[in-house]
Parts: sequence; structure tokens; C-alpha cells
Amino acid sequence: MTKLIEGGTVIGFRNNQHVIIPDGQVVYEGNQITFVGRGFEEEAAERVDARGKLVMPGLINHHMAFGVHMQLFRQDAARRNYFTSGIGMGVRPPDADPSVGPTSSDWAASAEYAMATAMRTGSTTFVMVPNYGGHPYRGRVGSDQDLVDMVAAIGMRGYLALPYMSGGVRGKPDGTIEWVKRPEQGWDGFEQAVEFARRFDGAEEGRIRTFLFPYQADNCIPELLKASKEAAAELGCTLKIHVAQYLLEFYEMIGRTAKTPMQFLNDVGFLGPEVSLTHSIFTTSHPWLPYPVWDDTDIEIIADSGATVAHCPVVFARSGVAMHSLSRYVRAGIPVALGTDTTPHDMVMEMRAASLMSKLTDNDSTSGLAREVFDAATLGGARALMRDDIGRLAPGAKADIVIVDLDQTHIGPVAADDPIKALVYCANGDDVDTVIVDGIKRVEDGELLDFDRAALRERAEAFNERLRANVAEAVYQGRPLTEFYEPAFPDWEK
Amino acid sequence: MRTLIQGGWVVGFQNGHHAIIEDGVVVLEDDAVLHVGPSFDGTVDETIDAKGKLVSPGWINIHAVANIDIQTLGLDASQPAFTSPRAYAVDNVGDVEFTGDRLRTSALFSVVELLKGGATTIVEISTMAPSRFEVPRDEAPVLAEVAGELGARIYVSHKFRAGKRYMDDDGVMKYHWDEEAARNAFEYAKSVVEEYEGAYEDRVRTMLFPYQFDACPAELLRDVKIAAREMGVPVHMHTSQSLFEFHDCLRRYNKTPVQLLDSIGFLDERTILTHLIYTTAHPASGFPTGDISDLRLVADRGANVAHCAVVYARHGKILGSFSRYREMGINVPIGTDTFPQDLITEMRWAALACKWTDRDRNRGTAREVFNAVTVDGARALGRDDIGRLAPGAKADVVIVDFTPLHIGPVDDPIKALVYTASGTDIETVIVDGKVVVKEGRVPGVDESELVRKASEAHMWQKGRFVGQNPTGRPAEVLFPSTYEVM
Repeated sequence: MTKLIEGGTVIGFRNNQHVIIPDGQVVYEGNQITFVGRGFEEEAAERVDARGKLVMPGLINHHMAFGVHMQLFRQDAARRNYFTSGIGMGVRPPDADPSVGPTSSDWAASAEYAMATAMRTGSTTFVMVPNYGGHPYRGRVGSDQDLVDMVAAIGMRGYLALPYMSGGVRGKPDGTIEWVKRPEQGWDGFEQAVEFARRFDGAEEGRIRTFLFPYQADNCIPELLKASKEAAAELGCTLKIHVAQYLLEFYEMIGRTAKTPMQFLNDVGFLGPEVSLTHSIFTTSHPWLPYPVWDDTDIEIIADSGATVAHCPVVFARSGVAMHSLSRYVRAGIPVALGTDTTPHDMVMEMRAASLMSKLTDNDSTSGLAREVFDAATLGGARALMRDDIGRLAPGAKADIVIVDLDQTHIGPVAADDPIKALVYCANGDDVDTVIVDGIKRVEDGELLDFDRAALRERAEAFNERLRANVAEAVYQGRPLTEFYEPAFPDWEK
Repeated sequence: MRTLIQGGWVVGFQNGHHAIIEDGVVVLEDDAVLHVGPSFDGTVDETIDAKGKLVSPGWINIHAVANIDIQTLGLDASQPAFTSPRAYAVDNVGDVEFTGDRLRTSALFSVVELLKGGATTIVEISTMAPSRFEVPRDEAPVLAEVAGELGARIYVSHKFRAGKRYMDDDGVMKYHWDEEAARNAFEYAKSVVEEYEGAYEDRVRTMLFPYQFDACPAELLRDVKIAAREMGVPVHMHTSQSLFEFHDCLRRYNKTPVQLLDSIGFLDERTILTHLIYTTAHPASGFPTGDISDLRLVADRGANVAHCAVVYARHGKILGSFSRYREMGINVPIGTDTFPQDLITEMRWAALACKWTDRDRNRGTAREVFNAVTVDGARALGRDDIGRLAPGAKADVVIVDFTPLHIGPVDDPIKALVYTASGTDIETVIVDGKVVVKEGRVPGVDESELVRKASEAHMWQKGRFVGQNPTGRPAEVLFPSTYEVM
């Protein structure tokens, strides 16, 4: 069945880059795009009038926290010692009962909330990043099949993984931190992850894909990283890892290996075009590190390896931390992808933050170009997933299409000049009007179709309440969290 | 006429600060707040259901662009192509400013957008770049009229200056000075104050606005401040926006801009210095590390610094820092200064940029930026009847819908506002007891038609800039497109 979107400003794809086609047409049949441009005159079973709108490829959320994030609660009122350095976690005593707290249906509500928000605001593909603290992730939202079914029900293109690592970072009540080693846990998790990846890759007509996710560079022994690399090659899947995310990790790795985290991964043989390096903030180029200002060794290592950097500026900007910088990495030849590592899962907000933080860190208005951040949110994400059939509107590509309403007072005049600058600098995820994934319409007139938004909101609120209660109990001996994390304003005195 | 608003989260004002009332109420009577609290027992004529929503005092946009913003044309560009040729600056040949219908479109579009962005009090500034020594003389009257009729609260002014920058035939930037023109415009600016102060049920107020510190002689500024004191209005001025301006002042006067302004008696509680990025405390100023004497002076005199984070972040620059200035005792209200004029996004970037500048996630807090658009904005205008929900205050209210997915479960309504919401979540705006934005739209305005006309005016202005650029470069070089346009 031929479907035609016409009259809008289309972001097409020619000669390996996006192009702007005013009054353009996009035609798709089933889950595939068949025509992009002007002059399509054949019959179409369905015609969508997109006048006053931007018709663009679906955004690829390459590092999506798989749930409602706790960061907002701690925002503005965190402990300084390691939160400021980029890491954000509660100090959970080792004897805390892991069975207390949110149930699997609560965790599912949280994950569904993240996906629904991301899709509503223009993401058509996401890469799942569960908040994972060293205990097995498997079973968090139910069985493996439950997890896949939940993603399938939302309808996004999802990249799923069971994360694993050989230990974890543990904060202790006296404020000190230790890296706990549990190699067997890593191997056990690895086996589960490989089994999961093999079983579900390609499910739901290919909308579900899998990857391997050794969770953090500082918490994976070299042997586990090597085995992951080999397994990924065998499975034909991609790899993701957190690396160079915070200062303590950086110095821990220097102390342990006499290498920067990036050099450590490189020397283990882990890096490569199939690898996504999440955050990669503390490289030798970062001004907070004691390297010469011209030392781009780590950036060169990444660029030479072909690995992608997964960049999540919002979550770090809230901590006063920034990568130096998106443009510097991109212009050194590193593919950069974007992701929403925190609430809200809004890629439009993420693009704006990527742009402004790059400009600020480079002290340069020509850094963090609208072009660079839009490329990152589309082509960069596709490149990280080793795909050339998403992140672009071109014949043969998947019918992942997002339509944004530009005919609004906070966007209009800038859109008349340049629709991508209007998107990056003026629009919000809320301005997304229509989302089509794999040829199926999932959002129309800004609402998720066949979806009970209010019910999900209630479930997510309940999850949040239970999580807070659990954190208060497990971490703060049952004292109210507001004692530790001051609210913006006090409650009204009766 | 009594209206009860049933919140969600009501941001009331108690014991000298904002306080949160979950499921609280606000009762408005005519143009004032009658009651704020957990409940209300009296009778009311009308109820607004704001369950699941944030009921906030109206916000003060201390530096709001009140014409279609040319600055967006320069996004991502290093050298904004807004340079005037000599013929234009010196001989008044050519014309890039809005007049007639375009001026009216520009004013209407701006006020509509500002209201939708949450500004119940608009301190307007119009972009001076396209004009000569002063903005068009009908600009302030048109704005007063448009805002007055739409129901906005606005501070209007006629902007003037003695110097205009242009590029000579060798590409050297120069000032063309005409102090007589500035004096004439200053006289007209005073007549605008006399005519419009208190208009439209006192929703329209005025100020004096010598446009830029570096484009006004010290004697003129001294006289402006004396006149403002006599007339009882605030003075607003762009100050220390660029390093060039900072050093030019040192060369001309052997004083920093702050020192010079202090020496002529310009600094007091009724002065708003916009941006004030470059002071002795700025690391690029060339002054010793730790020299905060300029900031001390501003704090001691009680002068206000208008902070506009987004427009500077777009250039890779930022104040150092919002929280630091505040901790020194300087009042730092917030304004948008560029399109789009969304005060929620502006609050967010004031917070995020401050955290990054200070390497401190506990600075640039939601509390500080929310205070900046409410009580601190009011203080800069010398008022205690706006920026708060308390009995007797003006009935200026913003209601933000917290039900969309991207807001998420709400732990703290102010943090949720600052870090997750945006202007599109603003549902209702009330000024002086009247609803001026309803369900996210301005009643009685055809917004699509307005966007169309505003876009036409914007593109017309772009064409004029290209046509008059002294370098002769084409549009695609001066204002490059993100991607190739087919």
C-alpha cells in the first residue's frame, strides 16, 4: 500500500548527507521508503498533508536510560565528592535487601514510560541502557520474553541487551568508595547476555535487535572485554560500554593500569567500528585533566579505531560536566551519536544541549552546529548501530519518519529561514506531531495511538514513590530524602 | 469578580519566600490576588481546574526582544552578517528596519510569543542593529498599544545612542558619532515616558534606555540618569557585552565600564545593566585573578544585572557566574533576549550554564533561577506587587501543564519545571486578572496567519541585510544553510 506525505519541508538524503527539500514528498510502502523528492505523481492509497511541517528521519536515541531517572530528585542538592565528578548513585549498604522496593511491574512501568516519552518526542530507535548496579539485570521487568514483549508493544525499534560486569563501584557510609571485584558474576552475566542476544536478535520483524553490553570499562576485567569482543563478532552484533565518565574512574584506571580508560580499552583490543563508547568525557583533551592542552591522544585513539562516542550532554550538564567537545570529536573524525541518559527522554532537548554545550566548551559560536547535532541524532546513531537503512529518508531505507509542526509562534520565522536551526534552537520534543516506525503510525497529532497515557503516568508515579521509599530505607536508614536533598522551596506552613 | 484556581502545585509566597502548596488554591479578585493557601471557604464566580498542573506567579522577562529577532539569522555563524556599510551608517542610505504593517506585525508577533513564553511582565528591548541612531519613533507607541490591547504588562522605552558602528571601505570597524541626534532622541524618549507611563490601567510603564554603554558619551549617560531619577523610572542599558567594549572603555577613560558608570552616578537600585559579562572579575579581562572590585561596586550600589543565558550560550559565552554574582549580593533577574522567548528554557540554561561555569552542580539551582524570573525581576523594577502569589499582589499567574509525558513523575515541582518543561507546556497565562493565554493560545489571534506574516517580515529583513552588506558576499555565504537546499 503506497502512502504519501506531501507539502512539507523534507529532510532527504543525497550523496551521503542530508538535504533540505522544500515542498517535498516522501513515499513509503510497508516498512520501506520508496521515493523522496519532488514529482511523484502515481496513485497513493493514503496522502498526508504536511504543509507547515518538517518531515524528517526518525531520531536514533543511542543511549536511552531505560526508565524514569532519579537524577531530578537529587538535582541542585547533591553530595559534592563524587557526584560533582560525574557519577550519580546512592550509597547503598552491601547488606541491603535487593528484594525490597519496586516490583518487576514497577520497573516495567518505568521502562515503558521512558520509551513512550522518547517516541512521543521523535525517537524511532532506542538503545536500551538499564540503570544497573552490579546485581543481575535479568528478571528486573519480568522474564526475558516479557522484556521483549513490552518493547514490541510500544512499537519502537529497540536495541536490547542484558548488561554485565565483573564487579561494581560501591559507596560506603563513611563517604569512601571502592571497586568491588566479582569476576564470576561478570562471566555469568556474559553467558546470559550472549544467550539473550542470540535468542531475540531480529524478533518482531527485525524491530528488536540485540547487542552486548559490558557495562563499565573500570568494572570489567580485560578477559571479559576480550570475550565480549569475540562473541559480538560471532553474533554479528554491536558492543556498548561506559567509559571515561567521571574523574574518579579516570584516576582509578591510571592507578590500576597506568593508562587512561581509553588507552586501557585500546590496549585490550576492545575498540573497533562496532563499539559505542558512552560518554568518553575524560579523555586527554579534557581541561580538568593534567595533560598539555594540545594532547589529543585519546581522541586520536578513538578516531583511528572507528568506534562511536555516545554523547548524552543533558545528564552531565546538570552536574556541571561537559565533553570537550562534540565538534572537536566530530572534526577529528569520530562518529558521534546522541542519547537521552536521563529524564526527559527528549532528543530535541538533547540536540539543543549538545549544540550549546559544545559552543560553551569551545568558546565558539561555530562549534556545535545545528548540522552536527542533527547528524549525530540521525546518521551518527545509525553508524553506531552499523546500519545504513535508518537515520535517513532515502529509497530503500526503513519507513521511520517523524513530522514536526513548525507552524508555531516559537518556531515559525526561524523555520522560514532554516528548518534544522529551527528544530535545534527553537523547537521542543512536544512539537512532534507524527511518528511512524517501520511504516506503522505510532503518534498522531502529538498523541500516542492506542495508548493510555494517564494510566502509564499513574504507574510511573507509583514506581517513583516505591523507589524513593526504598532508597530512603536502604540508603538513608528510613530518614526522609528531603533531609538529604533539599527541595527548591519549602512546603507551605499551615 | 472572583476566580478560584485549584492547583496541582501552587507556588505561594510566605515569610518572604516562595513556598509550595500541594493541591493548594489561589483566589483572584479583579486585578489582585485575594487569597493563597491550602483551601478557600468563601464564594467564587468562576473556578479554573489546574489539577496536575503548576500554578506559578507570573514571570518577569527583564530583557525581552520585542521585534522579530534578526539575531537568529546568525546562528552557527562566526561573523554575524549584520555589518552596516558606511553609506548606510553615515549618509542614511538604505533601510532595513520594520515600518508600517511590518512594524505592527513584528510588535504583535513578539508580544504574543512573549505571553505564550510565560512573561506576564515584559521589559521590552528592540534590536537596534537595523536602525540608525534611534529606533523608529512609532515603535514604543505601537508596542504600548499592541501590548495594552492584548492585556500584557509591559515596560516600553524609546532607545537611542550617539554612535553607530559601520565598516569602512578597508573593512575597518568604525563608529559614526552624532551626539545631537542622540540628544534629540533622548528628548523624545522622555516624552514617551510622559505619555505612556501608567497607560492601559497601569499595565504599561516606561523606562529610559540608552542603548549601549559604548555608543553613549558619559555626559549623555549622566543626564539620562538624572532625568530618570526625576521622572521616577528605571534605566536599562547594554553594558560590558564584549571584550572590545571593555578595553575601549579602559583606553578612553582609564576606567572599566563599571568604574566609569559609578563615577558619573549611574549605578543605583533603579539601574538595570544588561549582560555585564566583562568586569575585573572575568578571566579574560586582563585583571588579576580574584579582582572582584567591579562586582563589589555593582553590589554596593544595588544595581541590577540582567542575565540572558541562551543568547550568549549560542555564541559560546556566559556570565561568570549567575550564582557568583548573586552570592555577592547583586540582583540578577533573567530575560530571553532572543527568539524563542521561552522563559522556561531560559531558566534551564541559566542553571545549566552556571553549573558548568562553576563546576558545581549545587549552584545555578532551580530555586535561584525561579527567584530570578519572579521576585528578583520585581525587585529590579522596584516593585513588590508582582512576581509572587500573595494577598494584594497583582493577579498575574502562569499555569504550566505537568501532565505531558516528558515532565515525568514530579518529585519537586520547581525542579521539574526548570529541568524538564518548556514553553509549550504553558497552558494559561493571566495578567491583571484577565486570561491572556488560554490552552496555549492567545484568544482572538490567528496565530497561523501571524506566523506567516512574521516569517515574511523576517525573510524581507534577511534580504535587506544581504543586499546592503558592505562585503558584497551572497546570502549563502553570509547566512549559510544547515544543509544544501534542493
